[in-house]
Amino acid sequence: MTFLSWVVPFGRGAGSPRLQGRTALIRGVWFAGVVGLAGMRAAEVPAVVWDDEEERLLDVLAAGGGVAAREAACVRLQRIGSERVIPALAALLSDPSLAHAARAALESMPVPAAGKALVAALRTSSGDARLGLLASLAVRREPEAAPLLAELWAELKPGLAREGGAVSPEVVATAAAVFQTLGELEHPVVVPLLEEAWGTVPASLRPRVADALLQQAQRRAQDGRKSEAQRLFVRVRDGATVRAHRAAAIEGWIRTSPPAEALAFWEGAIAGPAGPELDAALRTTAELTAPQTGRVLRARLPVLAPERQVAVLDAWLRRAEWPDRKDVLGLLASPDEEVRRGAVAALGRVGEAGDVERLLALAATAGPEQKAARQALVDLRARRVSARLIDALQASSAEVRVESARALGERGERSAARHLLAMAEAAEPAVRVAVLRALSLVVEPRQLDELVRLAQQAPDEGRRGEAVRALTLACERLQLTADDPALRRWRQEVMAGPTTWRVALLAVAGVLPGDAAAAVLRSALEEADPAVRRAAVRAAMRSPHEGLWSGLVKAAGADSDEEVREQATRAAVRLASREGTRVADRDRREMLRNLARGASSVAQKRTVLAALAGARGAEDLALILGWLDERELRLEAASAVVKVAPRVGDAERARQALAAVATVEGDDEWRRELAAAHKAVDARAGHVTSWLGTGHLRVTGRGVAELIEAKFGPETLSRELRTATGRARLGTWAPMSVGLEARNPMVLRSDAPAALGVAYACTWVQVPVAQPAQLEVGHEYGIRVWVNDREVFRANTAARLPPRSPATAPVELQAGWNLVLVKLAQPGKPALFALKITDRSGARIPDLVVNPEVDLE
Amino acid sequence: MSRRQFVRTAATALGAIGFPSVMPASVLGRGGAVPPSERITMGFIGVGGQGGGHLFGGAWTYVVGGFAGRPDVQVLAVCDVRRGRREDAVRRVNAHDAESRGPGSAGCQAYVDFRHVLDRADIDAVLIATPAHWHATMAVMAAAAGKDIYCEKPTAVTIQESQAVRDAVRRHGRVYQAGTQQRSEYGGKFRLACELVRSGRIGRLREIYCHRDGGAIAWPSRPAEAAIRPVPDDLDWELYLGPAPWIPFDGNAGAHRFDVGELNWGQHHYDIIQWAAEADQTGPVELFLEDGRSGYRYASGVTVYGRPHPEERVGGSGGACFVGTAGRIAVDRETLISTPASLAREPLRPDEVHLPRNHGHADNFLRCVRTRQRPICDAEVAHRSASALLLGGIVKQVGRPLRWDPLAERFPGDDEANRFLRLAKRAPWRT
Repeated sequence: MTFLSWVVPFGRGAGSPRLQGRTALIRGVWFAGVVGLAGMRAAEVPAVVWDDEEERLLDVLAAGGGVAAREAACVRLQRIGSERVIPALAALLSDPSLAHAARAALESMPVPAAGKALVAALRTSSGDARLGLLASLAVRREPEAAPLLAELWAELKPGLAREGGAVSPEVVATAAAVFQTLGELEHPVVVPLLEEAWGTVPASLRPRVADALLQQAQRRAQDGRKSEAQRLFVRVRDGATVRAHRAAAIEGWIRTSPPAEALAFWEGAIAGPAGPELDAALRTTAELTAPQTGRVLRARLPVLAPERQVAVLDAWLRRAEWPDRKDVLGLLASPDEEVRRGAVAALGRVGEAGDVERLLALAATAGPEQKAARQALVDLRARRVSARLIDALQASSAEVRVESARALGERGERSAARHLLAMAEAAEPAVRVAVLRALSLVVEPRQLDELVRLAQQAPDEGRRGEAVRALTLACERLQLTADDPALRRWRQEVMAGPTTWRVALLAVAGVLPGDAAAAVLRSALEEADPAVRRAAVRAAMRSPHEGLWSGLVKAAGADSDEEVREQATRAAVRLASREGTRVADRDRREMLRNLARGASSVAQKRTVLAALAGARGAEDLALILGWLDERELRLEAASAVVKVAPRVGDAERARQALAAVATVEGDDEWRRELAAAHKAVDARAGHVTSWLGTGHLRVTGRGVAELIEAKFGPETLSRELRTATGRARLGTWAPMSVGLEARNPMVLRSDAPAALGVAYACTWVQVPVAQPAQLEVGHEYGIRVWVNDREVFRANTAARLPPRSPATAPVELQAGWNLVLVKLAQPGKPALFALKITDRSGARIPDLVVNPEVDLE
Repeated sequence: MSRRQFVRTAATALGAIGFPSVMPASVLGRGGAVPPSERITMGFIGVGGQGGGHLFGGAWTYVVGGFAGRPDVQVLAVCDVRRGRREDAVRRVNAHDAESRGPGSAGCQAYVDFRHVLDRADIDAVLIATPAHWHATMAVMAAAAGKDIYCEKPTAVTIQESQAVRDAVRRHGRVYQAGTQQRSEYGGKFRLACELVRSGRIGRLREIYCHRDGGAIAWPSRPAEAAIRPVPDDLDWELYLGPAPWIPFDGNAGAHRFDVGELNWGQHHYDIIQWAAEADQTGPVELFLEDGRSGYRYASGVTVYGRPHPEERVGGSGGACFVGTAGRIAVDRETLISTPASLAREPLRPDEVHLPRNHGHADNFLRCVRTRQRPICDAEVAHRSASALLLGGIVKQVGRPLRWDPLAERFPGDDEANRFLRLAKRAPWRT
């Protein structure tokens, strides 16, 4: 038996009524992932019975084999070990190579005997092993360790007494760890020991003792032992050298004091000098519970230093009862900007309608309070605030009108819409822009026609643009589709209105979902008037409609107007490349190739090059190489080659492409990138990276173990894979995406929703003469591999990628074409696998040719 | 005496003994700059992709210009186990400081061992952006060293670690902000979604669909002999491994090599779910598996599925879909959408739930460092969000439904499941 034979937990799923089918699978996959079973040779894994597992693990520990096997046994016992494995684990605590794994297992085991074993080991341990034991005892909060720690401290003390002399770093580190552990333990010896140490330890260890005392104090405070907690907080407060420790102790003291006492202390500290008392007071302001707190805050706030006023005001607003408006108004005249800003912000919470004018005046002035005032106008929740803001739309100051419009918009005040519409043609540009922006936030669907009218009647293009922007934003906010009845007038005008109007109104189509918007844009792309076509491609730049593609590609290649061609190129690339696109990879490539072929200007080519730099096909590489000779594009093309080559399946073509760009003159960074690309291509050479994939086939109610055994079309009718028509009968086969990692070269990405399912990949490899060969397989979850219909590899467990120690399987390749078929079963993720074909020594087969799309008839 | 007080006093003393009379305006706090004595001094532990983004900003990050670009922050230390990263970071910080604050102000130093950063008494706060297996250990040590902490997600990789972070932050009175910035950023979409849900716009909340399910940590097994490689000169492999069991270097020192499942991203989603479900002080009471994905139920009866809603695409980037008796709301970093559309159309009324807002996640942290208040994702909130994620990882490992007591934070009467609450660390590391 190898050590690997016990690590797979499927056996329990198969044998236990508690865990069956899919649940067992999930558990297996996750266990395998979490304990890091990389490199597991799945072919060696037989079915196992859970009940025997512990026994087998003990056998592994007793056998005294390799470190890796025993370490893996410890990792597994961490999860399943019972009391009977404790002696075996304890015996390893003194083994430097296994102490960590054994300790980790014991630390997690929920039985007292595990704690006892850790305590016992402490007596004979040293160095890092001892520090580890101390950490584990702390995590377990093992009270039985306390007396032993007291002994250990007594042993360490003499070594620390030579203050200023040579003190062993190990002694210091151990003493620090002892105190840290004592902080976690609840035992009668602990606090007296810490208090004794508090007065005697060297300065370097005092923070550790302070930390431990604070832990003990906090625990007592939480348990309701307030007087004990207070005593410890006071000890730390009076003796700590670190400001943070003193502040923490004072904070604890405040929280455990009677409310009136805490408030009295706070009142003194908040007005006292900077230091831990003040830090603690600031942190506890929001938590004071004495009934007189509001009165004290009110009395203190005006006389505090500015930075404290800001902090106290901030904290006061977090309390259940807020400051009164007049408390805040008093701070508005502060000479300190930060205080004034804080007061203005607070006014947004406690102010009333009468404050609107004051806030508008501040918002309308480019002073330090402007931002806070604008927010306060949005936050004000008192009655009649909106009415005052609407009244302010008639103010004599344009700045005030701007701010009132802004506030009404951001407050979403629908009742203001008609007032704003009446001002939408104001003469002052700033007012008009603010009003239109506000309208976009408050208009209702029935009022959209008014915005269309504003666009139509605009005296110039700039004002028409302003109105259309408002209409566009309103449509986005209202989540309207293009066929919404509220947009009837827009549809009429955009389809049949005068050209000027149509050009402006087309922008709206770019943000509207629904087929009607796509139809509007498609139609506009065909118009004779170039102004309309330009407007259409500009709108398409924002459009989510993938159906616009063909029209955009056509315009990019054939439109008579250069601007249309360039914008159409950008819009098409954006549609194909944006995150979450539903465009299939194959279609995207085809589109990019068409764009590349049709590109006539440097700008167009640049756009396509940028998109091609994310591609992964040999044909994409060829397209890019074609632009190397163009002077303006040479560097960008070379850069794209360096990005694409490592992702191309055919290593030889990738190498040739890199060689072609080697003469390009670039800086050091460019040289480094080129070298890295060469390295990546070399690393993946030998991996079979050209595949056709199908799936994944979503299957519910069955686990991976079942799915990997169940037969689906491709494996029952493998002869069909010989031809394109045969493959078509077995489903849709598409070229697979190639992964980004050099050692993880294949990634099947399915557009299907993640679910338990099955996928197949196939390819053909050609060798000139029959020969023995070897497969190296990296995989996740379930996998089977057939070569020429003969199964050569199977695993239905997890092995994390990239394969650090890939599984291997011998194969016999026949002269000519050999069919390689891979089946993958996975629980709801894109399937990952890697496959390399080498000779039996692991060396590359020089004449091996891969072609997944070969047609053998 | 605090560091800021010290700087102030020292500056006064230096002035009195005839320090050069020409000083940059920034030292005196004029010209909109913050004087050195008022800046929050920070150390950055881990300056790879995520830490570098926090430090310097970048196209993908929400911290515009990075912490280094803020006038109220002075970066005094950067730390990374990779030499190239830390040297590049310290060069950039010093160049920025020299340019923006004057030649004498470039004082950032590079460290390989984070303990040296924690030892510096002149550092107020640290930002931890290391691989996840380090987060809790470093946070606990930073709290004990008196530092305020901004720590990337996940807060911890086991429940025990997460509790230790919460307890240490509470015990030492530190300010802790988890890197789950969705409560503060993205135009307030997540806040609004939670406000709408908590205000009852979708009726009674019944189900939540989360695009990601549980996560866990996986310690590595020893690599095969053939895979072992010499440790590169520019990498401190021992410090990379830290609390993980020791293995020889095998070429993989990636940020996520020990992650299993959704450990890296899951806390973003569950943080928002906790917020919407008003569960910041509690957690699930039952956990289950469905088609291999974890899910759970709150005591309120609300069920959380670790998979997308079958009819809803919105939610992939950090979000969720909330389903109630009157409709549903889905949110992610790009989109907030409701079904029917009218649910999200109306602005929040004064009497509806209004959740705290701030001026950005980093800003919220720095403000709390000054005022000693609790940030929006403080250690308690972070602990509960991390727990929701990690409990999902546990139910996947145990492979059967579990009961969870969110008060005692134990699986009642279930020794098998309770073993998954902790994972021993390699000595001398501990939380």
